[in-house]
Amino acid sequence: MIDVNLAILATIPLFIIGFYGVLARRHFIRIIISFEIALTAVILAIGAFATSKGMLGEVIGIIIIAVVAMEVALGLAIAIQLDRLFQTVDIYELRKLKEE
Amino acid sequence: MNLETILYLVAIGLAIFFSYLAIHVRSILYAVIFLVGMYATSTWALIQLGSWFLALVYLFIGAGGVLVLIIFASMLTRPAIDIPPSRSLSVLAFLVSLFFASLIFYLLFRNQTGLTTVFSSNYIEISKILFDNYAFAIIIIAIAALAVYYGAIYLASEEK
Amino acid sequence: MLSSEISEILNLIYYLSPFFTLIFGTIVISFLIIWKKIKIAKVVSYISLLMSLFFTLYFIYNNYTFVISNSTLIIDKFSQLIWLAILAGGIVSLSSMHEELLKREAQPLLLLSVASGLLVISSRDLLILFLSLEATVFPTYALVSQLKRDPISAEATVKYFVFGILSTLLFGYGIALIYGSVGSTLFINIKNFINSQDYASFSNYIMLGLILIILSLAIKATLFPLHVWAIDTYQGSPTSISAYLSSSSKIIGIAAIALLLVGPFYDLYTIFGFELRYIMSILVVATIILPNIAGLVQRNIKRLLAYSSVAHSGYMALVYVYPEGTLQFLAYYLITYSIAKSVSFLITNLISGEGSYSPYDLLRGLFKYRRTSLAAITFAIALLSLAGIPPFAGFMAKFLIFLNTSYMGNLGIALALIALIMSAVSVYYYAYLIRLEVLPTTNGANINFVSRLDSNCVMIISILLLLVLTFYPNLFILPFPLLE
Repeated sequence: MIDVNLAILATIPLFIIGFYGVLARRHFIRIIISFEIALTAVILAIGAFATSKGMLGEVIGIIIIAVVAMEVALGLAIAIQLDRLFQTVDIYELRKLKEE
Repeated sequence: MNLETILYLVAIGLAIFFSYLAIHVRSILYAVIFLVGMYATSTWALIQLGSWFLALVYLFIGAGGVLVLIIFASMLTRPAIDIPPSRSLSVLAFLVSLFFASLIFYLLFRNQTGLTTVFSSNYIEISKILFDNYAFAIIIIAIAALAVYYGAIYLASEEK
Repeated sequence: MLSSEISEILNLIYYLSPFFTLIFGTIVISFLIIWKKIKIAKVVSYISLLMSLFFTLYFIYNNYTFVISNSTLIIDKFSQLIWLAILAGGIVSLSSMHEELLKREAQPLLLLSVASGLLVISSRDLLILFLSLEATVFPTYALVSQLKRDPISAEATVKYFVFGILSTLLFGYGIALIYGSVGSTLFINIKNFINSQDYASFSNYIMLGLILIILSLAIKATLFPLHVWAIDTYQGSPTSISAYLSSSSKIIGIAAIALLLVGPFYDLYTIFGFELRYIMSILVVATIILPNIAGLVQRNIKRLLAYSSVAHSGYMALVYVYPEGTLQFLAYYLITYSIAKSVSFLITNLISGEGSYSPYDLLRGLFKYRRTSLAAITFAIALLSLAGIPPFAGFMAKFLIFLNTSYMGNLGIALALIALIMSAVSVYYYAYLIRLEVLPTTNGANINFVSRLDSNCVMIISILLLLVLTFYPNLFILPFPLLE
């Protein structure tokens, strides 16, 4: 028996660390890693609710995992394509190229 | 505060520790290693909550699929060492994250819902819900997968 | 047994025929592109889009309402009318595609995005809405890339992707919180829960979930603090894709927020009283004022059109402040906006190509030559319609929304006045563009103009529609209480 409110509150730092990573980091693949971290908080929250409200929560969780895996695959395709065209995946370097 | 709660909090604490390292370490490949730790500990936390089915799906797709993709991509791209962001941007990102954190804490801490974890995963019920009520969701997932497939082809096509 | 299942599947295909037509078309086109039959592929994608439009019009004409897959999808007048706007944007975007995009898999990606966009509007379940929204966005992640060494395009791609994953995260957390308090994701269950006694102990969860979901959709709808990606992305992506993003993709976001606020969360307007309306009106005022002022100093056609489209999402967001009075006219606004905006991007594409280079000077002398005069007239009419000048349909759409907002009380009058003033300010930059078309070209530079049969047809039809639709706003009245 775990208090769900406590379980949700405990996941918030995870969400915020991932959110911060998406906003602040420069490396494109690091942004995707941060996205995965923030997603973990979402999955943990859904898992906590699913054990108190019924199995629909797990279905939602499975579907979100599937969708996000696809999104990550596309993001990595974009990363490889950026690397091929611009020889960098650093988004600051890309912005510098624009200013030149 | 019973033993289950303490174990759950320990698992979450470890996951937060690993995720902090994964964000802050400079090399991408080390970040991937800490991501493995994050997957493992968050799976432990999910099992502690009782939703072991979701935990296993997450571990398989996360550590088995996504992580391998990230390793491949970081090897195919230039091994850029990730330099810490400029101070102004990191302060801005920190403020936005802090705003979100305080919003969520403020709204969730105020009322106790009284919900506790009572169920454990029941895969028969999960399959019933997924294939009876949300059968159409599978069609949409198939379409999204088709879109990702075409999108990857589109991105990979060489310029002539 | 078996025959009943087969008839069930056939019914599903019939009810969702606008959607399945596009999916079938996608599969056929992808094979045709492998065999390098580009012309036939384009014809097939026109046919599937037009058939989808035809089925939608047929449903509207017969007043059909379908409830499918355990009432997670409902095809009623709300969804059918907004489908028209989405399909219009898709058709215009397809007609403006250049050879370089057609050779690759751009057409199947566009059709997939339009098809899942149709599902977003008709979903009556948060999970299905989330899924189909993601399926709408995935193709555009790939399409935004120019696949050239153009730094502006790189920034567009990166910004679009980063904001896209932020949107996914926020929506995921929101869906978790709302599921956690309601125990279901069906709209009707959420509505009943908000009216029940259990609501009191979960009110913060629901409020936070709603905030996160609206923030996530506001990224798609380019509402104020989250519109920053739109300017760079519309400029950096191929122009035909900017036409799609600024019309159909944005309409999906706007209509999805309206769907949530009017459907499951409508009772929050009575529970919170004026708080919700004030928050929404701050959002609206910021979204209307800032891009209109920023638009005054632009010197790039695509950037200007991006700012104008952000300003227009502010006018559309007036609906969120007083949905009971103005929601009925949202579909009409969306249809006229979709046609005018995507056609203006189409003409930008014809004179400047798919790239991000589109300075104002390219417009000079457009009226002078015979082969460009149709494009010049269409561009002028589309811009006048966006500005809201009387004989065109954009005027009637703006008029109806502003007038009905002003009927709703003091806040409504203030909002309508601000919208009216800023829309008068916006006339300046639209008129500046139209004036440039009349001026002679600088030092005899040639106009690079591509004339194609399909884009000419689209231009003529859109001129006719923008003139004729002014007199028939009553054909596109949305039903107001959405969930009954």
